Amino acid sequence: MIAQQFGVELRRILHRRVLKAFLVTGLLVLVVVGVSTYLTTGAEDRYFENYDDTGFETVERTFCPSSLVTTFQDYSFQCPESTPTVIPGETSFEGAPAPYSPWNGSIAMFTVAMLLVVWILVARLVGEEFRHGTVETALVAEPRRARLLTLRLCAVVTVSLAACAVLLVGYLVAVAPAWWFHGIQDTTVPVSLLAAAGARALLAAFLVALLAGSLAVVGRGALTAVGALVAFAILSAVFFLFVRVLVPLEFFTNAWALVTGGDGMRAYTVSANYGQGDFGLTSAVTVTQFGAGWPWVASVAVVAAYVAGALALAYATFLQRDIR
Amino acid sequence: MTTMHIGGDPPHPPATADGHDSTVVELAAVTKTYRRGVVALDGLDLSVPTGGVFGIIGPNGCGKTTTLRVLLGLARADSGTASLLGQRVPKGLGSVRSRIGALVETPKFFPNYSGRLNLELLAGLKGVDRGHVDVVLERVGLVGREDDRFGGYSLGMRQRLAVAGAMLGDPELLILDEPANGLDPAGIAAMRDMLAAFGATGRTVVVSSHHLTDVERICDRVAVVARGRVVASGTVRAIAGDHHDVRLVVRHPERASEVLRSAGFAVEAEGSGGSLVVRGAEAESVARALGAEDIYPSELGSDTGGLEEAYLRLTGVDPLAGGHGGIAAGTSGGGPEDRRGRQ
Repeated sequence: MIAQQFGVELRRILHRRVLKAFLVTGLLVLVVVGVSTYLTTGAEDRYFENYDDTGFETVERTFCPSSLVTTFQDYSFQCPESTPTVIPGETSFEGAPAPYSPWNGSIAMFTVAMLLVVWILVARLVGEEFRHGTVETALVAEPRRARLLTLRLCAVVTVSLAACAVLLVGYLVAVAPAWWFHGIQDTTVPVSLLAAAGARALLAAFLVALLAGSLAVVGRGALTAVGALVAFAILSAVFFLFVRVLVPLEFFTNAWALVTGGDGMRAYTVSANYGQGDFGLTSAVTVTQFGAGWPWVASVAVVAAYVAGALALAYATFLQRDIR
Repeated sequence: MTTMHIGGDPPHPPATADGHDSTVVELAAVTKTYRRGVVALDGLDLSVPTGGVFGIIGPNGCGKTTTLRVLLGLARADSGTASLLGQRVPKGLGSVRSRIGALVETPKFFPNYSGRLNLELLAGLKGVDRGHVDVVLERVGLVGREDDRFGGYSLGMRQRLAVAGAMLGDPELLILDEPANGLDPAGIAAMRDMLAAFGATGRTVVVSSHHLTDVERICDRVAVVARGRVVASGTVRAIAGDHHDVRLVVRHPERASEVLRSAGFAVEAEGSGGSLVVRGAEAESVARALGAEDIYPSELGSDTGGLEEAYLRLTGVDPLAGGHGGIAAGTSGGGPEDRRGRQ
């Protein structure tokens, strides 16, 4: 019976127009990402152009890392045979097309954007049930409220994860032409990157879906969850732009560091996880933090605590009678 | 205020031989106060026996809808007890949900889904075979429009779909809040016949309605609710009968009046066309009294105002003043309907 009811909840969601809009929009974005990635990586690398004919003696490794040189060699460009730390000044990079770089930030941006949209999607999927009053129709058919809410949240999370998986796979497909025709900057990165980015993005999507769904139940509508997101964005922007500057030692975000002497709390905050894309759950898909031992497991625990609190509130709200 | 049980019916019918209570709905001393102090139920007692059609009537804001919402677990009573099919509400609702079908207030479905899809989802949630959707669609006359968007339905069609949803799985107990809302006259007649037929199968229909004529026609029993309480309950005939009026037209009204008065009837002349009104009488007994004196009216009929008059008297509603039997908090009255209306 529970399986049947879960199937009903899934079916109910799969017919929602907002889900279809989410997928269509996502696919359109993927097309744009794919085309822009291809065009960007296919263009001449201006970075090296600037150093052409300048008569400088060396180009630091920073500007021509070993993996890049190796890649260039594959394309028969004029890098030396061996991997240099210093490149002779007469080396010409003119006309060298830039290979696809997994570090160019597009994965991080895509993932963060996807999570934000998942938030809105779930808020609407859950919240619209209250707006249309269909939650009452469902409650007459299934008065066991805890069961109904659990099934509904499970269905929403399942659909969200499936949609995110589709989009992540779509992302790979979208950038595949750039990889294929323009090469990859560091051939050792993609597998680990994809595994980490995919897993953490899905984990983040799971938590985001639960958080947004719970807030929609607490507020009995999508507006609360979406409003919380907007309010949070505004507050965090204000906080980071102004308060942080004014308060010495970044007191609020680094309070824990003041006590323990360790890392600050910033890594564990929602804003760090979702607002910036550089920390926590999404660190796998960023340049600076990937592989640097960022405690994303701890971040998961912290975000899960947020989710647990929101879930508890959601159940407390939904188990009350008088829901309209 | 005490509840009148008219017609000699006990408030709580005796248990059946197998030990089960013969009532399908029991509410005892139920109170419910909404926010801002609006009292919707004020110690309401209600007992609905198994089988037939049971009507709940009362003015706007008197607590009818809140009563149904409490019964279905959609609203929480502040005090008192409620049970449905022998199970305490809300704890035991899960075990009897498949035996109950309900429509409370307006139909609530997804506007972008077709009528059929909405019903199929509801059937799945109730654990009813999807094939039964076609049966109920046919029963409410929506065949041919079932694949249209719910949002494109007229009010009457929405109402039909909601009733179809309530009838999924052929429940033992059907609870309908104003099922005739938005229906055209033919739809009202069809709904009336459908509910009467449903009740005649031994199952129970609890229907709240403002259509007193329909209530009088299809209900076996009725409860009159006013100010959050049941002020009268019993058979429709018993409640309306005490206040039946019989209207007749005779060629010689003076003689007819004399005959009827001598037979103990209260007779009043109405207009100058030979029309008489016999207060608190049954049409059959009036006809018999006149026939005994070879007086045969050209027109004779029970005034449907019997239940209406009883209703007005019991609820304290002054039709000219437009008052109602809702409970007021301070000076503003009304239950959830009124409350929403003010928002």
